Amino acid sequence: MVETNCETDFVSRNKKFHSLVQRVTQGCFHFSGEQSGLTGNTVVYKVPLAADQLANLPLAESRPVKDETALSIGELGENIQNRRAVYFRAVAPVQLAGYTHPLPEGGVKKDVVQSGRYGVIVAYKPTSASISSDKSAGRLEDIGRQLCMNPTEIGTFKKVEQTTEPEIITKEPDPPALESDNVEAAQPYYNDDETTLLNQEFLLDPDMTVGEYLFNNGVEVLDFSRFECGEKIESTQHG
Amino acid sequence: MWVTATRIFVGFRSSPLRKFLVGQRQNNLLANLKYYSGSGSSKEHVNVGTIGHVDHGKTTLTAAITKVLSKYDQAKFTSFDEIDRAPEEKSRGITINIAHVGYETEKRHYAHTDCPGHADFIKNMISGTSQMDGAILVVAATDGQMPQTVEHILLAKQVGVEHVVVFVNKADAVSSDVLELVELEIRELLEDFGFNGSEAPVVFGSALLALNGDQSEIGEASIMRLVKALDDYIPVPTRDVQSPYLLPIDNMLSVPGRGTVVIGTIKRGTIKKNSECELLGFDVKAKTTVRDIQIFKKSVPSAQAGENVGVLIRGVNIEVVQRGMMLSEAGIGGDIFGNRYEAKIYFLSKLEGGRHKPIMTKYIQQLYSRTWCIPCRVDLLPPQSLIMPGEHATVHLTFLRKMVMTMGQPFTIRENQATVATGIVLKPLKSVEIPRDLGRVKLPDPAVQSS
Repeated sequence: MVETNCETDFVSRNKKFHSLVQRVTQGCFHFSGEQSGLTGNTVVYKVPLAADQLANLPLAESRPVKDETALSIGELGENIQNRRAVYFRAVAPVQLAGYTHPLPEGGVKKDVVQSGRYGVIVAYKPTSASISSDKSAGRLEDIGRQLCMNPTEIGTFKKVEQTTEPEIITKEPDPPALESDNVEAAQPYYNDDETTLLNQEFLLDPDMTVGEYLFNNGVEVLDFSRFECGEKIESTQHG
Repeated sequence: MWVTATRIFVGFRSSPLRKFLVGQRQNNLLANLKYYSGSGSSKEHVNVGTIGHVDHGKTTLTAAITKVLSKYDQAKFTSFDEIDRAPEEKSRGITINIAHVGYETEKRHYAHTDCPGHADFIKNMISGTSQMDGAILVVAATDGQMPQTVEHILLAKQVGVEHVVVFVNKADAVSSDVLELVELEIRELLEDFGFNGSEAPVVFGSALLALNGDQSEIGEASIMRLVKALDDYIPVPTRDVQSPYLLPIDNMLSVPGRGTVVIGTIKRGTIKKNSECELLGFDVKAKTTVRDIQIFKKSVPSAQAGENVGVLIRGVNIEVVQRGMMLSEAGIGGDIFGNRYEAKIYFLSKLEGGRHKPIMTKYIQQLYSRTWCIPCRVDLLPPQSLIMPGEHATVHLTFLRKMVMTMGQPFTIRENQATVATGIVLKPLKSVEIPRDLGRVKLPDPAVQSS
């Protein structure tokens, strides 16, 4: 998942810009595929890339991202910056699902990079053996997609600890601690500003939390990443 | 809720206080009307907007127009900085980045707006702050068209503009060959997007030179040519007086011994005395006749679009009439009276006081328009499954009861009295059966409906 910024939303709707974004995102994808695989007990890892790492990533024909971007800047006459990226690697039975909002007019097309103002990637896996049988594969995909829609809705999140090294992701769900501004301890589960994913209302059924939805479907979330275009980001801990 | 409000109103009906308030409201309605040509105005009024790449001199041009025309007392000079700051304006609760300037020619008064972004233009259109009757497309001769000129032209189409005037800026920096080439390319591009590329006026000049008082052909003179092109090419929106008439009802009173009078400003057509008409709204469809028409308390035999009138109708009890109903010429009811509409809607962002959470399809709330409200269900069009606060989208509306809504009619959606969304109606859709509960309505496939 990549975040790219430009100056006007006219440019962001332009097909030359879309083409650049596609190439940069695909470049990241290929780069991630070339990195060392998962080792030991690790089932999933998430690697963030800061602007400078992203700028030097090689794209097709070995031209780095920053050169491709410079070309587009010349063509479009606006400043363009690839602000950040993240990639996930997982091994079965962990599944990865991605979602961007708003969806493009024709819907999601296979093998075409999706883009939008918000993007989410979720890593999840079934907890019970029964759900991972073949005919439930479609169901598992649905669950992934629905999970993805949840983080699009609210501002800040308490994220699972990020690191650039692969690690064993803890299996315990986050404790329902509330972040920063939120003082209302009375109804943590239905609070509008709930920042922990598992304690948020499940979008498709506000009577339950995401945590409850996961429990009912025998699925657990291992990690996720959410980008909102233009949002403030914490100063990088990643190199 | 509306039933109760009407009942309370009854006792108030013939009091002098009420007559005064009705008069006040009518004045306010007139003030909010789009300013048309015709009786009472000295100059025609036209709304234009500038589109184009900001580095091509869009803002400089706007400043230059005010500077040049201020020489003839036809404008107040607004500097580049004042326009560039793209002030934030609040309209119907929405924050829009928009700059307004005004100027006049001998023929007309222009309201000129500029927005930095596509989203701002759309928000502007939805909130009804200003229409765009025509657009000035600014392209620098030094670059010619940019890839995003496509998006600029598409925007003009999206907000309903049909007439585009092109200003080729920085004409001092290139040779005449290049100017010709730029002109050709732009004309072709306009044609590609359904505009009349061959007839669109193309003016060459330099906004910067004009701003600095340059007296040459491409200095101040180019601005005068541009403004003349606006005068000649962009038509004034005219009132439609030919179509079957429509009178949106904003108020009503009972005249003892004579009957019920419905009051409003005629939206289109010409109402004639003794004509057959229909009272439409809130599932009511009643046939009646126009007994009398009054403008400022004087009886007239007919009245045209744009006039504020009181119409006495035969045989209709005032209890039946509600704000929001429409009086229409007999026979057209079927086409415009329904409970489903396609609309463009904008959900206020959290910062603007709107919702925090997105909405999903089958969203049911009160819809408010002009002086009335009705329960309404909002359905999203696939593939969208949610709308975030701060986003706009095209949606399908389903009302609890059949109403007449005209194209471009604005509305808001409120949750517990707080405005959460604002929108405009685009077109009517085929009506459906509404069982008691809006949530249970069987709706047709949106892909089929909107084609």
